[in-house]
Amino acid sequence: MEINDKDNFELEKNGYQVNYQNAIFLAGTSMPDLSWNANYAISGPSGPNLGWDQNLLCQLPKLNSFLPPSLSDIQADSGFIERAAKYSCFNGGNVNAMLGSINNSVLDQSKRMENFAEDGSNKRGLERSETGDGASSGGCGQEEGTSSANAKKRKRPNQGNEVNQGEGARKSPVTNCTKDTGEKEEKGEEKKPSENQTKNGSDPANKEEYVHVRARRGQATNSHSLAERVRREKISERMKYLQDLVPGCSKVTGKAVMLDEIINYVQSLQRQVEFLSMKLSAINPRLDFNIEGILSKSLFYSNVGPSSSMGYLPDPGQTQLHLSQQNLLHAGITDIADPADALRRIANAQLMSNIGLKELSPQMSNAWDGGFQNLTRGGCQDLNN
Amino acid sequence: MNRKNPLPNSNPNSPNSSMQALHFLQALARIARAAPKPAHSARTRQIRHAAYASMAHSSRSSRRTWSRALLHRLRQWQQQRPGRLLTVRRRVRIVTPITSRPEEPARAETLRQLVPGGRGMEYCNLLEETADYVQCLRAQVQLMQTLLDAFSS
Repeated sequence: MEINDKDNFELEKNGYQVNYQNAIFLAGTSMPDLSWNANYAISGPSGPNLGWDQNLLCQLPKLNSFLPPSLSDIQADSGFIERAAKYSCFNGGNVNAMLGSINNSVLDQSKRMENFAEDGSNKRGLERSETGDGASSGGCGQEEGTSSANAKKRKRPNQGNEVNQGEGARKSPVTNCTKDTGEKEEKGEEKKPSENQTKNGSDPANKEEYVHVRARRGQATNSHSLAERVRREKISERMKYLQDLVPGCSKVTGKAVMLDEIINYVQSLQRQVEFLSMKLSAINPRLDFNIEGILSKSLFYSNVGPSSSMGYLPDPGQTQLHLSQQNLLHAGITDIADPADALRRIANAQLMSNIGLKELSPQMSNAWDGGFQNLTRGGCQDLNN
Repeated sequence: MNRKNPLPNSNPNSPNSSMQALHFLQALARIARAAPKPAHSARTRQIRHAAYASMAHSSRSSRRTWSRALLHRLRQWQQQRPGRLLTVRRRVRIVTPITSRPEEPARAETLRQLVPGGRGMEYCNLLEETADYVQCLRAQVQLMQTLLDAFSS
């Protein structure tokens, strides 16, 4: 799951559009759905699935080329390819047509079908398809991970839909999921079928914000409990992510303790910022702070490792910080004399001014390869030489 | 809705943090070039504001709720300073009951106070914003630490 998240974010970082992101990553429902995948052991290509997948792939060959190179490892999974083919929205309306044709062709294979609100024949197919083969989920209509649900789950009565239409199930907004579902109307057993159905015909490329969830085996299928389960899973996923962020939290289990750790960490970080700004303001006037000179001197190529970060300051360290600050002041006065002179010399030699900085900044932003840590290190080394 | 960033370890080489660093350095240069106030506390405050501003302006966080809330808070802080009389605000803040949901843990309220803009968010989004905020904070701390080391060695 985490891997998919990372690739997902790489996409976003690279500025890819939301379409790709959702086309490939099963937008908001990727988490629970992928876990279901693991449960039901579908993901890779299996016997009866292959033919159908390749059928899809043949019909939509171009879509693979659109996949960004960073996803090459994901492309290996044909399941992803098939889903990417389904959910990409290049062709807007055409995809629906294509998928519609595929859908009809797939129907005969007695796969599990989703509810297609607009297509009456599909509904009949739904009732018909109960065979619990591990076939990949009903062609086009399939939502992300739910490729092979249980046999028991497949029989979704049509009455359930009308019941759900009256319910006000909670929306759990997903990332802009361009599920261009013209007729792709997979619902979880319950989940806003009414709004989805009304949206279907209007705009296939419209962004839907509903999570399509399928109830797990042996669990309550109440709409509220499903929504809550999705929410709980989201929360747990984010807690796991935070656990990775906050150092020293890998051993801690339980949400309450984790939350305390997170709060402590945020507080300590904020205190560090305050303390560092105090230190910086102490140093500032003495150094004349010619950043322009430093930055222009250094060339972003330095082998010096990053300086040791202050780490996670505990609470009782406050008093010690004041003492160290005073020490720093004394040290600063004596030691900084030479570098300050060097800086002034550099500044005068290069006549850096405000305008100069503005000219420099685009260059800097373009060439900013190494970390800023290396950058300043390199600058100081040049000064000292 | 934005997804979280992938790398849990804040990468100093990423373009996000470099933009943050650039912004901070420019602000620092501006502060240094400005009228050198002898008041240590005023300078400290300015640097702190610059740090938070550069955090809010980093490319990764420009879409986030917390960055907007932080900028708003910064503007309030900067406006407050010249005249203390202006700090009295007559607007009554209505605390919506959404902040205290039954399924939230007890410490969620503390977290809301810590993370800027956390009051209006649901718990689920709050966690996401916290993650992003923590990443930016950590990058900022590393940046300042590096600067300190660079200028004091």
